[in-house]
Amino acid sequence: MKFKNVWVVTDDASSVAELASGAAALGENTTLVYAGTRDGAVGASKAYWAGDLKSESFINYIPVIVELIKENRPELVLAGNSTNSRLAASFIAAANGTAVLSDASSLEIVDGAAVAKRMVYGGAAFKTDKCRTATAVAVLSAGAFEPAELQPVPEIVDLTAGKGGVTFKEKAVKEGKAINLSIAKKVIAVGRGIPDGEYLKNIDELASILDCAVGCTRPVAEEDHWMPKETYIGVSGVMMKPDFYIGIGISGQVQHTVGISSSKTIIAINKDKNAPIFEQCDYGIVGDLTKIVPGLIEKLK
Amino acid sequence: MKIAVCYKAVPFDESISVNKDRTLNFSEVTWEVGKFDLNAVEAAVNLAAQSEGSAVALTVNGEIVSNSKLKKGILSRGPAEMFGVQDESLASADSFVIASAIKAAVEKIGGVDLVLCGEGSGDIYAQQVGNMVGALMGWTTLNAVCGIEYADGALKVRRNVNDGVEVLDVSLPAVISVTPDINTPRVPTMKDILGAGKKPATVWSLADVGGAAEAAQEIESVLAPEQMDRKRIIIEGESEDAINELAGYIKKSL
Repeated sequence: MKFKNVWVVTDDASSVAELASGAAALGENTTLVYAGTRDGAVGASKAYWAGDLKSESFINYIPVIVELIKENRPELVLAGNSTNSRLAASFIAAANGTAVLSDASSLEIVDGAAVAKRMVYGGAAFKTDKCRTATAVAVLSAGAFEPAELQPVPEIVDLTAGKGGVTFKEKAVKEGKAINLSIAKKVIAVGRGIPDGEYLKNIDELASILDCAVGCTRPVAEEDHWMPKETYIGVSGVMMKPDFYIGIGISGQVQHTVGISSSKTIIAINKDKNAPIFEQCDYGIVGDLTKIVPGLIEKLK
Repeated sequence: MKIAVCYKAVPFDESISVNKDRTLNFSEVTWEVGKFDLNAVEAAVNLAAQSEGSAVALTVNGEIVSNSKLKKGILSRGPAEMFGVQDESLASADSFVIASAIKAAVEKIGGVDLVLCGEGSGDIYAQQVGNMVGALMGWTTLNAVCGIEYADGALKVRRNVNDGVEVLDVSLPAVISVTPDINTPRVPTMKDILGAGKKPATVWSLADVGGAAEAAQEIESVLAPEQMDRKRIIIEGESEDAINELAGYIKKSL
């Protein structure tokens, strides 16, 4: 069974394909609400564009989007997991008397109801929730659906911002290209066992030899600021389904390892032989990473 | 400004064990205030001082609401007063029900200009309750706020969005959820802890705040993930042989 109408809401153009693929898997007709680059909208019979957000906050579009959804009464709304999409999901849910199925790693229809699975207790468990209301709202985590081939949207309507209670002053746009670790198939992740931020040069060298993306644990990004926040793997960060993973200087706290637990191969380098990561790896080496990493670069280049 | 800051007592992750049937065992759990909530409390106390206002702490949950150690713990971090709504149904309620209870409590407290929340609760981490409180109240609502400035009765915030950081003027009343990097939460001193015991704490029942909202979700299961079988081949030391062996496994696995 499929739903008749599914709406996709995201301010992040890079998530449209995945969300629209999820909508196509779960519903017969998809309507898209998006922002950012106007061109390139795919996977819906109709789209509403909430501007490029260069001089306006998405927050002021949310009341307009809530009204559209109230008028159209879809059975399911899928939102991306960005800041703005998540906020829109909350408002849509509140207006429909429901709660958001948040950060769903899987979402299916069981007996006509949306059923979603999410990680809880820092990765110790998965919680399965069933929505009881006529309109279900879900925030999908990255990787919940594989992006499919999608057709361009034939009809795009430009939205005008409403009143969300904020006045846009300025925006500092992030430099550099966006990193999308969640789709990487090979990854090296670093933890606080590396000597310092400078040491990442060596990690990058090994990563380029093995054609790996580089990620990290949450403290490396949020406490030491050695790597950008978009690159930490685990609860509240990036969830991955890689084929190949090397953890360097990572003890293997569950908050991190849930992000890579479905990897085909897990390799660990750590000086502490009691580190939990050795309990859940395929290959591990107990030793000084500052000797092992250069050794590997030498052997593998 | 009068600020209500929300917090939730959560089981310490590492004190939860897993039963043979993959269900969770909470019999030995220790409780703590959710770590993301501490940033909201710190922000609330600082803003209350800057605006010559006050900050009160608010929680809705099961019987843990009345736990005196946690009450003292939250009040030792600066809020002047604590309010709670206690009902066993709230311990596992969905975010719509929780947000509805918080809305009712904020209205009962009265005169609140700003509700602050952490990024997400320390246990479920749906990152929804703060947003939903704002949506239900019809107040200005922001998530992912990484900086708040108060000047002349108005708020200016910095907010993380997917392509950068936006700077916004915020009209009050508002509900704001803050990021973990907005500040470093204080460590209470012995004086703070002793003083906390003297601060007022009020616990209401759901009936006191007008009853519960109807649940939007049913919990089907909470289960530990199935473990994949791993080879667990461990090499010791960083000798050339050891590194050669590891390099061999890497090549084989790529």
